[in-house]
Amino acid sequence: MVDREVREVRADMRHWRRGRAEARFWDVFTDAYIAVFATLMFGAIAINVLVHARWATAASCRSGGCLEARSWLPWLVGLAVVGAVLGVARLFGPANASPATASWLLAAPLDRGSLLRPALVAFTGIVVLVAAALAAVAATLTGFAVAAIVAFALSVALAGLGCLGLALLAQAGRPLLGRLLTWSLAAAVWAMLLVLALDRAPVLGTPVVGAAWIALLVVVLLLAAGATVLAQRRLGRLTRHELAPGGRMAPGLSGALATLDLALLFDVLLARRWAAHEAVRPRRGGPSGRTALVHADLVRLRRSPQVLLVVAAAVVVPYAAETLGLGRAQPLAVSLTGFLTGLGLCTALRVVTRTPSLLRAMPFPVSTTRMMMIVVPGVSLLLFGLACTPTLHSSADVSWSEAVEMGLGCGGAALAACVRWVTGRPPDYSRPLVSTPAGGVPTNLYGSVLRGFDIWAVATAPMLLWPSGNGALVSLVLSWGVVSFLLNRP
Amino acid sequence: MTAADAPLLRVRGLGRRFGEHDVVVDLDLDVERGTAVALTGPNGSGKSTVLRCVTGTDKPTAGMIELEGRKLDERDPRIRAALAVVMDDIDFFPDLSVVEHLDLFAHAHGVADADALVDEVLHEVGLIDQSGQLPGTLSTGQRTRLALASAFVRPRRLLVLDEPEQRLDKQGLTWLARRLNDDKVDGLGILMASHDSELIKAVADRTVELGAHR
Repeated sequence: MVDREVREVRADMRHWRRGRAEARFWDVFTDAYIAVFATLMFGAIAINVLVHARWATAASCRSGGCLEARSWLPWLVGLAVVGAVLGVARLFGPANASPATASWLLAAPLDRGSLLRPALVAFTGIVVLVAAALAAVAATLTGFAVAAIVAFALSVALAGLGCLGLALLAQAGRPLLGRLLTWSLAAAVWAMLLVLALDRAPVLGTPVVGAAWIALLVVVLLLAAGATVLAQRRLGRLTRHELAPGGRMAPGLSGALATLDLALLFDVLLARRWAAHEAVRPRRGGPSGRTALVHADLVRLRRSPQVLLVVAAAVVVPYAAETLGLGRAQPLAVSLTGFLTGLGLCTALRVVTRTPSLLRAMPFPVSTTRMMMIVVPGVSLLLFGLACTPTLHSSADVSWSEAVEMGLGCGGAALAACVRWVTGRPPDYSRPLVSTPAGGVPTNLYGSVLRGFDIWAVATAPMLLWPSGNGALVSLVLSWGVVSFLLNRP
Repeated sequence: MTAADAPLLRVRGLGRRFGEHDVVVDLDLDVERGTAVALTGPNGSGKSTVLRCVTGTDKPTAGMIELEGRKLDERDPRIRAALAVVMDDIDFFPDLSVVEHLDLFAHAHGVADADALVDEVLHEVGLIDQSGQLPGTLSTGQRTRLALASAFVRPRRLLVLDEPEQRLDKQGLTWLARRLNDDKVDGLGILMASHDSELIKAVADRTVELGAHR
């Protein structure tokens, strides 16, 4: 079928949907009015905050390290955003079909390219707009001129567009291309952080929009357009096998977001990641008893070393943050980085948390099974904390032995936050609900977004209030208490 | 009655009520060593509820359950070491292969020659070609076989199965019946819920019809 017939099918579907619509015109009008008004109001507030933050940053950022970090910020953010665009595009496809579309429309004799294009264009539009907005925020905070902000945001958006095109090419049978580009961008971001961490970064001047930049913009535009056109041509030739996995995640992700259950989001992404692997090389043998669970974690690590690589590579983040002059607040940067990067190591604990049958199958107390599953993440995060000893020593102005203790305290706080995050329970709709304008809401719904961050703050606090070995000891005791409580819960 | 004299599983006066609705009422049930008891009855008659109460995943509103003369508390590691369960809530680690799952169960339970036993069970359940596959790539029938295999690679004294015939082909059912009968010969007790009359006829020594109180 040709494009016209696809449009007719869409028109028919729209017609059926509208036929079942129960909302009155006035309801739709007031909803739209509130949405537009809220967008304008919050947008104005955000821009106002941003402009004030720019002035405040310019006034307070006087040290050499801070000036370095500030001048590198937009380039770091720009590169990270382009990498994130590529990562998100590869995760979802970027072309994908929901289970309903895959079952009903992809099976029909319709032009597949025409069928998939509208959703892809909408996805591209959203991703490119978000990329441009983030780039504009970073450029504004750095003090770029208005023309430079616009040009920078446009450059990042176009680079993101090009990456989307490349992701589509990768989806159509060239997965290595997407993987290589993603890792290259991640390596570039890491290299920039390393330069900042080593305090070797020169202060970059604010760029001026001139002929060179415009020429570069044109080149990026042409490359992005080329990749997009090439990718669009292949859209119609994508198989259901290539389109379905990204769309299959949609119900799970929307359910997780509706209940603000980020751990469920993690489950969906984990399942998606491993479903793409048809088979692996099995690793046989191993110790008996409870240590078999630790061995299984080591098998996982060998199979997927990138999760450990991310933790190891993230050591540069606290060192780069040190250039901002965090001082006594440096433990926050260390434990937060450990928490966010350590989550990938806790997949086994997450799986047994949501699957009681696996816990039941083990001949140990529940707490022992869970404890064995945090051995590998725990050791990794304590080593991560120790690797941050020099930055704690110089930032918090403590002796080396105290810095070592604080490193362990930060690793412990990161582990406790990870355990809190992965062992979180979903919102319980069987308990009394809180009445809100959006309907009945479980008491722990909104709080679940802060899960993990609460323990990160509480467990790190002693080291902020009392930057010494004793503060680290209190922090470790708190972390251990939290971990023990969470692992012993029935 | 000493632990040696007591039946392997002893259920007395078991009741489970959901709101105003009695699903299981005053159920008495014994499973002796080397025997199999099948729970039968229409959908909603309480077969799975009884199994959930026995395995400790649901709390009965009345009655008591003992395993080898000791109150059945699924938190007790000794109980979990004795009780192998295959119910419909089983799931797997997404990043461990079929054979690695079985290795993990066997090693965790301290099986002496774990690798050899795992290989033998893999052959039996017909998953040898899928041993390197991840669970997410298995068909539903293959996942059922993996779930059953996970119970057979570990020591057990009571095997609890909830409709094990589901998604198994004819060949798989024949194997399952033979395997369960071998377990009975080895002195194991089996409690299963099933709709498959052939499997019940081949394996069960006694049938308990549920739902009769309604």
